[in-house]
Amino acid sequence: MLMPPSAAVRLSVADMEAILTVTRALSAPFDLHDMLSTVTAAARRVLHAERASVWLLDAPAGMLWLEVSSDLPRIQLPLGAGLVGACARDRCTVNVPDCYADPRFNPAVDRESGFRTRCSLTLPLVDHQDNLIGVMQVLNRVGGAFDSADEALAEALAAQCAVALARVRLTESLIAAELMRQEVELASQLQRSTLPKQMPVLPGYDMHGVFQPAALTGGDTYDLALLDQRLLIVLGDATGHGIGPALSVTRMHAMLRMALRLGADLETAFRQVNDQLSEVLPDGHFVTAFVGLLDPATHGLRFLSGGQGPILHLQAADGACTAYRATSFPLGAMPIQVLRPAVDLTLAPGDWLLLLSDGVYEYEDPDGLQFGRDRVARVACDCRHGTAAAMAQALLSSLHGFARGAPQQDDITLVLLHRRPDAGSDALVVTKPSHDIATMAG
Amino acid sequence: MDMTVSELDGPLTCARLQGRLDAAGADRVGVRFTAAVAAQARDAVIDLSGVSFVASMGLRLLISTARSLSLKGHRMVLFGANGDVQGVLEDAALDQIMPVASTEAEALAVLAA
Repeated sequence: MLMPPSAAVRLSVADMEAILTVTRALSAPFDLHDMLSTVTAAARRVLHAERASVWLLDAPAGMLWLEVSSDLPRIQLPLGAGLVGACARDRCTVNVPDCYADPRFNPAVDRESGFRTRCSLTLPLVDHQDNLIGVMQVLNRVGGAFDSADEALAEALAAQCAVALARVRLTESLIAAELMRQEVELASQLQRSTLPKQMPVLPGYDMHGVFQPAALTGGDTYDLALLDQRLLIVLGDATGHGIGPALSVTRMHAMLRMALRLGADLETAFRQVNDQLSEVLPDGHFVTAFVGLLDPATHGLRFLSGGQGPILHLQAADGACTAYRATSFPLGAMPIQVLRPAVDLTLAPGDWLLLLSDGVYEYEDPDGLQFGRDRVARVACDCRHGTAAAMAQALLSSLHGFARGAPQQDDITLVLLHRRPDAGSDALVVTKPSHDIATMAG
Repeated sequence: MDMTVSELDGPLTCARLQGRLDAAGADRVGVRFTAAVAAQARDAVIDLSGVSFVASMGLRLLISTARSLSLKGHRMVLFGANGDVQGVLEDAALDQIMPVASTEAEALAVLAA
């Protein structure tokens, strides 16, 4: 740090040490409170002042906050009020030898604290981008008033303080970004913990699950699991992004499996999960969910869907795609008064059940056009003679081509179930689901 | 997405939505819609005749608002949805949370019943 000549002459060894302490603090990790304590202690010592304080600017509020003072509680001042406010407003050093004779001085703080202010030196703190970030003030020079040499010394200290303050704020924003990253990572791990590690093996059927989370993690989940000779099929999507929805779908997932394992029928499990979620989820949070049970002996699929739709049944015979609507509102939105009957359908040889989250249907191209149901049905119809993994790949490729680089805004989840067309193709093949970390684009 | 709010005899709140009720639209009117409809202790009718499109975030705004009103003992009725919008409302079974009427007169009749 370069000292003005007049100040350099007066620097004692102790003064030098105090200034070096501040300089050293700039290169070390620190928090705001420690940094301000260091600066104000140095200011008191170097400028032989009884008190020193640093006020921080809250620009949007037009207020100055006193963050550190040796013995004053935290207080605030409007911009322009008192000597500190005047210094902030005019962005220049204010040296007042007799405060009580200056009309800008506000004696209220003295009255509260019992301290008697004689003289003061107040300096603006300006960062490297020429933005005002606060004000430094020292009170009562021992043995007289502050002179021009003190001003030069104080300005050098204020410059150091401004740099340190800017660095603390940058560190704080980096820490906030890191916490956000950790939350997203945790939410992502939670979501993944609910996904099947391996596709269940069910003779006569081929199935495939895909999960591609959006950058900020939505609230999708899916499940394919064998429970008592039946296949449980779930696709869920909780409102919002981050840790909240990840917790909501994890809860829904656990409650559902537990209820079904304890012998509840589809309707009872669905109602129980809904009513419990409506008690525990915060306002405005709910989960859209398809819950189905397939009996592989009869090929009958029975399902309820809370707000999750369309549910596509692709018929092998003619390539027609029937879209079913949700049977009730999203899970957790409110207790169910009257549960509409479950839907029963039969999967004929070669038929498909296609469950896709709204991250697929509502994926927008650069012109704001959505991928939509018709495109899904067309691709599915074209690929209906292949494997479930191949159909998933074709749907994702089509979506990718449609997006033309537009970023993925929501989780993408696909659950595809295919009844093999003939008994001869019942060879057991264990397939791995696709839980890709990579997003569609962007 | 635009919104106008008026008070009808009853008294009840009438919010008329205009444009695309997708993620961006729901984001734009969300706070105002919630304040105008959900924060009031009275029934509401929502005019969707100017809404060309509804996506999941739009549905979520309607559901959370209806739920808040229901917790206060009041109801919200939708009306005027075009064919596509009506299809989306039915796909998500929204009619089980809030009545969906064809016209404003029908919506008012639902509340009067």
